[in-house]
Amino acid sequence: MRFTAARIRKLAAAGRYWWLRDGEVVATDSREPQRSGDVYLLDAAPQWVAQADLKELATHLNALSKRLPSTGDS
Amino acid sequence: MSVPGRRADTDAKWARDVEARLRGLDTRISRVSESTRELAERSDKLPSPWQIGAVSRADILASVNDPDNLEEGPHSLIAEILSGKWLDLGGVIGNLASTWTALWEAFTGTSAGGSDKSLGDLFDAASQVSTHATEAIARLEEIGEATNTTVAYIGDIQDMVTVARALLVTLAPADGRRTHDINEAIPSSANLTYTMPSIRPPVYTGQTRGDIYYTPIVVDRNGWVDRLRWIVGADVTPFSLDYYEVALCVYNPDNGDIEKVWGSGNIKDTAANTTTLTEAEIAMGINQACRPGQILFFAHQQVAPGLLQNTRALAAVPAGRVARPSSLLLDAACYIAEGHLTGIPSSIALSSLTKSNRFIPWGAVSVVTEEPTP
Repeated sequence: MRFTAARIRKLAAAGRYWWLRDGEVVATDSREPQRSGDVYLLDAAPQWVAQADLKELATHLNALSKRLPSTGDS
Repeated sequence: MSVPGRRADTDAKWARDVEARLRGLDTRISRVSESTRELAERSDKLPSPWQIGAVSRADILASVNDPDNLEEGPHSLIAEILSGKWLDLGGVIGNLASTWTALWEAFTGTSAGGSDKSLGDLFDAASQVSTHATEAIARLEEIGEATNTTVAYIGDIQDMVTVARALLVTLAPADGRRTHDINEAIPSSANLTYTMPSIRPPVYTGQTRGDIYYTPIVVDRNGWVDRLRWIVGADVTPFSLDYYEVALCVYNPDNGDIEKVWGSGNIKDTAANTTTLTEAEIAMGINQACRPGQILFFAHQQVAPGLLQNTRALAAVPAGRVARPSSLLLDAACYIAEGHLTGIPSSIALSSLTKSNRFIPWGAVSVVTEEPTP
């Protein structure tokens, strides 16, 4: 799983709450899981995304991704 | 210099005494003004001597016996006098007399003692008061405070703090991080630089829990608690956590509990919304007074259940990691409710908390001397 600035921008546009679902990162507008097995990742509050350096953010998320179970995502 | 009637213990008390008596004169003077105006209005109606002299005994008897004849001339004046209309002039004169007495007492602090005092006497006394007013009259022990004080290396002048602000510096590896978690060891080979020490509360992934840090502030002054301040930073974590709350609590010696006085609610996207280390401030607006000897607690909780969430840095100074005797009421540098459910509780037993002597979070509560206006 690898984050890029473009991917972060796309996810943030799709929803505020990000989940790990079947090995993929998805975004929704609800803080409650939409499917069983959804694993909560983070709250991409618009205030935070607006002030973030997306390139730095991608680097940070990629480092944190070590916490995630291995996925087929690349 | 001897000042007439000065009986107060100190110059300041005497000055306040005179001031109070002068204030009391306001109502008397306004009454005299009214009486004087009334007197002026009536003066042109007063009977002149020739008018009174022209009134014969027969006229007076006729007036009394037949009021219909008393519409004009001296007859009418006599009738007015007989009817008592002018009797209230005595009240006017009485007002003037009492005001004269009050003026004398205001300036001299003594009774006028009859009518032997002249206007010149009064001016003499007033002159002495005026001369005396240029002298130093205040005594420090009698003057109320305008502000609280805290020395600048501790906090702002109105602050009571958990730990001195000047201690918020440490050596840490110059690895580009804006803060360094004081729970982490510093490699011996590290290139060190001065930075702000901080802690980053642990995350409980998948659980809506977070540690609550309770840090004591012993109240050392009287006043109204006003603002809560602390230093928060996000380091390189640009994503929001789920919950961030600070609170002001107080130790209740009657039951041994730490009770919530005010809570911020979830401020993760407001006051605590920062990606750089920042001193945050919230006006509590609770208008509650504190007094010396009370023990307040600055409380703080973050909840970050997401797999990719981190907590934000909280400025704190290292503590000596030496346990304190249990006989002490404050037997730890700070206290932790470990893994507590989201939200700082209304009440929690001090004895149920985990003692920590590794660090002291920096928090400040300002105390103002005047009750804040809502």
